[in-house]
Amino acid sequence: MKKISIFALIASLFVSAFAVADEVNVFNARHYKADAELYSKFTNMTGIKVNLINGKSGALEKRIISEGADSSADLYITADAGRCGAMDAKGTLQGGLTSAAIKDAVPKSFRTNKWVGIAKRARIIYYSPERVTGAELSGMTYEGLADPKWKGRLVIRKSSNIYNKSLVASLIKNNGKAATAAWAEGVVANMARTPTGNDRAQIMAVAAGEADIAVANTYYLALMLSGKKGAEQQEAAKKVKAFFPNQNDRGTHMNVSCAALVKGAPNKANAVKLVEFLLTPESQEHFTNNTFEFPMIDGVSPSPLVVNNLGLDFKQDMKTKLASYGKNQAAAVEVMTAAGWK
Amino acid sequence: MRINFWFISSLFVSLIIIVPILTVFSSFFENTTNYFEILKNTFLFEYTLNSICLLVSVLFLTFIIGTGSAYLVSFYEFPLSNFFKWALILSFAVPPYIYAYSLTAFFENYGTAYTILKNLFGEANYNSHIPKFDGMLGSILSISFSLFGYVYILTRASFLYQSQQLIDLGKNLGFSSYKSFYSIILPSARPAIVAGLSLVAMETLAEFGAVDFFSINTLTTGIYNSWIAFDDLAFANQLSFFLLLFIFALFIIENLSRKKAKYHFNSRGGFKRKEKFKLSKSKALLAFIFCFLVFFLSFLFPLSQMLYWTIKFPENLFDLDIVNLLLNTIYLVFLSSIILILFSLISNYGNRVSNNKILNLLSTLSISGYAIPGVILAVAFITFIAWFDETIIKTLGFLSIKKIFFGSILGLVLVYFIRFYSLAFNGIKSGYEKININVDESAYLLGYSKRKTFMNIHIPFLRNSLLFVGILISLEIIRELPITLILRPFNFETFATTAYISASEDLLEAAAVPSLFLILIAAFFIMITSKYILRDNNE
Amino acid sequence: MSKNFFEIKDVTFAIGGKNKVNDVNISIKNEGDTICILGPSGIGKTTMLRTIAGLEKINKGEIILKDKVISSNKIHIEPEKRNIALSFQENSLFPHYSVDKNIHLGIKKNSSTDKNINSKEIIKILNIEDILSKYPHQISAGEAQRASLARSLISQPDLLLLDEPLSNVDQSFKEDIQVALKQLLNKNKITTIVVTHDSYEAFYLGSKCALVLDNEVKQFDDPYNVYHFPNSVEVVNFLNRGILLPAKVTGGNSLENDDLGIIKGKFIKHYPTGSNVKLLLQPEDLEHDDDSNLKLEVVDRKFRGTNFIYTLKTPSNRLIPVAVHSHHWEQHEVNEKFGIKRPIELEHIVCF
Repeated sequence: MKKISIFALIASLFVSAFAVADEVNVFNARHYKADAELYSKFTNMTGIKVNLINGKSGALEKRIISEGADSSADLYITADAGRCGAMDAKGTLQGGLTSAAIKDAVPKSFRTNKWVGIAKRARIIYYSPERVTGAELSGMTYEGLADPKWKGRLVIRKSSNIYNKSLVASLIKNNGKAATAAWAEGVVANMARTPTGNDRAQIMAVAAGEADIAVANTYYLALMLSGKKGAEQQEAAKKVKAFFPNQNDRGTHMNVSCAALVKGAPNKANAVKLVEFLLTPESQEHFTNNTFEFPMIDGVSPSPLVVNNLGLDFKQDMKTKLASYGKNQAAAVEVMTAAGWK
Repeated sequence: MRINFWFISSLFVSLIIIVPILTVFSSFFENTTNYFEILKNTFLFEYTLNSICLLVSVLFLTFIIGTGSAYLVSFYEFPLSNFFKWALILSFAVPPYIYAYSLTAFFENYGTAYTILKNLFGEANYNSHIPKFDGMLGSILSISFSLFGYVYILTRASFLYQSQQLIDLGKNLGFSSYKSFYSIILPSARPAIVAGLSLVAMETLAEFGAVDFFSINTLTTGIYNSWIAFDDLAFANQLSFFLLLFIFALFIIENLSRKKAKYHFNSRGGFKRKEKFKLSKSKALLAFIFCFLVFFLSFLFPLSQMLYWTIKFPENLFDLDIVNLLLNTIYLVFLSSIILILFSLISNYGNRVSNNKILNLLSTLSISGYAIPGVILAVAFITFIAWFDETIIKTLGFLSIKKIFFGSILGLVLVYFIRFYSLAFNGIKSGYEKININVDESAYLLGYSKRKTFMNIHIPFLRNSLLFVGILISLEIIRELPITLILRPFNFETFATTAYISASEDLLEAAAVPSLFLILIAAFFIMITSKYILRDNNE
Repeated sequence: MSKNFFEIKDVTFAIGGKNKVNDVNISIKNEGDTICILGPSGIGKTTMLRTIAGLEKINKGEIILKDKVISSNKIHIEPEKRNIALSFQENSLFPHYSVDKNIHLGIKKNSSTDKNINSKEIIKILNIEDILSKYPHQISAGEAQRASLARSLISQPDLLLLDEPLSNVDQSFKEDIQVALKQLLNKNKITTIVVTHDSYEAFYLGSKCALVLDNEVKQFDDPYNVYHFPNSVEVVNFLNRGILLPAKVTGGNSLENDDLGIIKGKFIKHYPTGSNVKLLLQPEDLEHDDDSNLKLEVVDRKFRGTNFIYTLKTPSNRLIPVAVHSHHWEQHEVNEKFGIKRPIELEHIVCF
């Protein structure tokens, strides 16, 4: 008995070295309860076990790179297209997400053969209807955030935030680096406070009267409105309204949660199966109802909370290739840092 | 010099610990990628400035809180003074990052403070009147309230041993109690205070969780970020080099002060004062308020905030597989403690029986792991294993060893080992130092073999030290964040990682449950060891 | 060849080059004998004991116990296998055991002797009955020393080594314990080596004494001989029991000193007439006589209970100690004159 337990103890030390046959290893940077529910659904359907290593995207990427060809990672799932693009650029991904099921489901600009978007989110402007008039907002664009009329009225997260990086990367892609550098300086000049806090904190700053407009992702407001974050946040969410910028040109900046196929994936086929599963209408509905993201595929509606309060009928930027977020990420950081964006 | 089992094993332990450290230093001279060459200078300046700002403020606060409370509870009698004596060390149960979550949860717009005000005084926009403790200020407060305990414990131990004679002398010379404090009590506790502050300084510089949560760029988060975001391991290593220079300076200061502190205790003959001074009513009230505030802010406040959220969002309680988290935590704690204690015992015993100068030097080197921030250690470990695997293992035609070390309990425990070895080694050493070498020799002369002496004389004597060390390691591992975050295996979470991940995903409410459990478990450990922690010596 | 129970042959004792004692030859003839090692502190006495116990190794010579070589440059029997007990000068009790448990740990040893030592008796004699249930940190240094002594005795060793066994014991107690210890050792036939810097203790306990001075054993002899027939100036200086005066041999049984005149007695060693020697003069050698015409000035007087020791100054400024029974009714104050009985006759004359 004693010997067996010692053996078990020693064996467990090397637990990662031994693999169970039918499984898929997911390096997961999305930590929603809803995702875990989806994974167990997948396991029930297919018998494929989903192994998760949760972490912040940066650390997970690092581990995939350090492990190199020996990495046990099959899929890398993260909440930003820029990250998937950057991983691709580092040569850590492989092609293979090319099945008909995937190609049919996901629009071209939201996928490559190495990674695909699994759910969309828009980065939009929130405003206080009490302090911002319709005229002020009329025709508002991301570019317009640098307009001096917003001086001292704008809140946005730090430049280190990946959503901001991707937003600025898309601006560089559309307007060029020099124009975006000037824009960044204008934005910094308009800030109501030194960037601090998460997306939700930006929205609440508008609700609390610290600022008049905020830049944040769509699903936060829905989450706050849902009451899942408590009565206070629900109350706060009611004090702000959403505005979709760039409706008159390319459309609102869209980002995705993406799943990327890791080079040397030991369970490649299973990984593709999982991605296909995440793109089925059932899974997409599960996302929209729980994480309040926009569906990746046609035929699924966003959550009523999102529809009613944000308005579904907006023009999404379907033109700018998401792959450019990764390519321009370095330039984006440079531009923001140079502008003194904390 | 005899090459024997003790030598080999100590050498082995030292190598395991020193290699990652050398990795950091060796890459200092590598060229960095020219990706951001220009911006680096600004970064380096900003990181250093932030680190210094954080360091100075935290040192100032912990000094005030730590020595202030230590002074009050060791010299005066006031309501609950005996309770505060040990209650103040409960602050160790709240790691800085959980403190940061609590601060944010309480003070943010529409946060707990808002709710309280609303319930008390009705609807109004209180948000603009509630101070915001985030960013640098938030980091400073989180770290200070979580770490002041180091200063408190060491200073209190030193106050306890200030002989009555010294204080009587002050009275005899006609000093007021203020003058006594500034010119007698404080100076003679200086080595202990410096030792405590250097520990605080080391931990502050190594701090990751809270600083990362508040997005403050310090040298430590800079290392992590330049490694993660810019792929610039060489720059990360250069930052590490600077940071380590800082930290080693502190490490040396701490060691010297501690020795001095010991000397002071001894030279004074160290007898305990029996009587505490009674304070007048108004002064007793002030002393009570000070200690209560410290206790409240350092422990009750984060505990209640986490408890409040757990109750307010009970669904999080059921979403979390608490049994599993608990088992994981126990497993890690158990395994690491056993390995650490075993090797520290071997090294200590080896040092004792072989009395070899090289061995002593090696063990001094190998306790330096504690000075190295967990982030750096984990990065260095991965760098080293990857290098070793590529250049040696694969060249020799063997299978890759990466999987054995990355994302396995083995790798995790190994890095814990490096980080916490000094804790175990010094803990056991201080126990061993109390056994006169004559005792060993007497045992031999009574016919006990070396093995029997070790088993029948040393182990029973060290039993308490071993228990104490084990719990100290457990406390550290329960609270540990960056190493676990970077190196843990699939499907393996601890309370700390769960809390961190939820918090970093804007799901602060969900971070409350694991945080609450972490605080409760850590507090439990602290309570059962409070006797040892508050014991008369300065270990 | 006559067999010794214990023997040290040509051994040089040293720890790391320090406390060196060269080429030692000491033996204990019979089982149950006690010898003493006497010398100033820091000379290497403890090193000798530690080496005999097996805690240190030797490079030269051999140590033999019961016809078995236990230490040489090749052989080293581990201390736990020697059945030699060493009672340390400092506290060496196991701190986590009670005194009682400490003392009886010694019994576990599988002793090769068939002695049946009565531990109760030892506890009683050493007067540690009251502290048996206490822990080492709760007792005084003297008590710890006696407990440690008890532990060594009870372990029934072939050879017992005592390092300053009574150095921490109160003076009032010391003599009682010395007596008790001697009886215990004799009664149980425990062969013992006692290290001490107290010559009286050595003379009392040991049947023989080894004087360690200047990195060597200067004299190894029975206490009477050591005292009365010291074999070197160093021994005399160490024992501090007399002075050396310059004298000239004037015949087969007489010599002459400038201050004291003719001194008669039996030479223990032959010196040719006319040679210049240093004469050992001990306090008992001179007698008081107020009628004598040899008068010297008193410069100091020490009360030593049974004796007064007068220090007298000679015309050539030498200081001579003279013992006088303290019941002697005519006492002399400092600066007074003190008469010395002539002719001066000594039992034996020790010269160098």
